Amino acid sequence: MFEASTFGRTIDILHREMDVNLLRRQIIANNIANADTPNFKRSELNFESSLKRALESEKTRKMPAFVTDKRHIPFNQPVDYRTVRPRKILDFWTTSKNNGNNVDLEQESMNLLNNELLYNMLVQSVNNQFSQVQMVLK
Amino acid sequence: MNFMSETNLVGHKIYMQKADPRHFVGSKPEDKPIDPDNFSQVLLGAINGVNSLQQKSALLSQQMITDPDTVDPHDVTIAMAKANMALSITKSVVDRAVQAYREILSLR
Repeated sequence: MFEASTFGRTIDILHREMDVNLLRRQIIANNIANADTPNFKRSELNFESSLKRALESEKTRKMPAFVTDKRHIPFNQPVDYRTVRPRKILDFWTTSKNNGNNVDLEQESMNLLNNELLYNMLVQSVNNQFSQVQMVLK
Repeated sequence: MNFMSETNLVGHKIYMQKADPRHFVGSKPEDKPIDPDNFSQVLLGAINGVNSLQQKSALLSQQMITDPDTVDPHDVTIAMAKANMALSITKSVVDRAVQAYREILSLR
C-alpha cells in the first residue's frame, strides 16, 4: 500500500531487518545452547551486507554498457532490496576447543547483546516513523 | 558525528579550483541564498528544511541497519527527534495559519 513512498520503503526495510534480527537471535541462542556439544560448529547470519549492496545498486549510476544483444550483461544491474534473503553461514573452518567446538561464549553473548540493542533501536525508529504520520493526520 | 571519525582527520586534500558553477568539484552546488523579504521563499525554505530532516532521519536509520559501525545510536535518536520536532512545529504553524484565516473570516 505504501511501497511507493519513503515512509513505506523505510518501514519495509526496518521490518525486514527486524525479522532478520529475531532469526539471528535464534541462531545465537542455538550457538550458546550448544557451547559444550562436541564437534558443534557455530553459525551466523548474513544479511546486512547484501542489503547494503542492493540498496547501493539502486542508487549508483555507472557508465552504461554498450550492449548489442539482450543477453549481454551490463556493468551495473540494480538489485531489488526485496529480493535479498538472509543466509545462514556455518563457521566450519575454525576450532577453539579440544572437542571440536568453536563457540566462544563471550563473543556470543556480546553478539546477543548487540542484537538486542539494535532491535530496541529499530523499534524506536518504527515508532518514530508512525508517530510522524499520526502527527500529520491528527 | 561525522567529524569525530578518524578517517576524516587526514589532511593533504587538494580541492580543484572552481571557475564556473557547472564545474564539478565533488560537492553539492551551492544553494541560492534565501531572500529574507520574500515570504513565500522563506516558507518554502523552511518546509524544505523540514523535509530534509525527515529524509536524513530515514537515511540514518537505514544506515544503522546496513553498516552499524559508521553511525552512532545517539545520532539516529537525535535525528529522529529533530525530524519529529520540525514536523510538529510545521503542524502548529499550519494550524495557526488556518485559525487566523478563520478569525479573519468571522470578523464582524
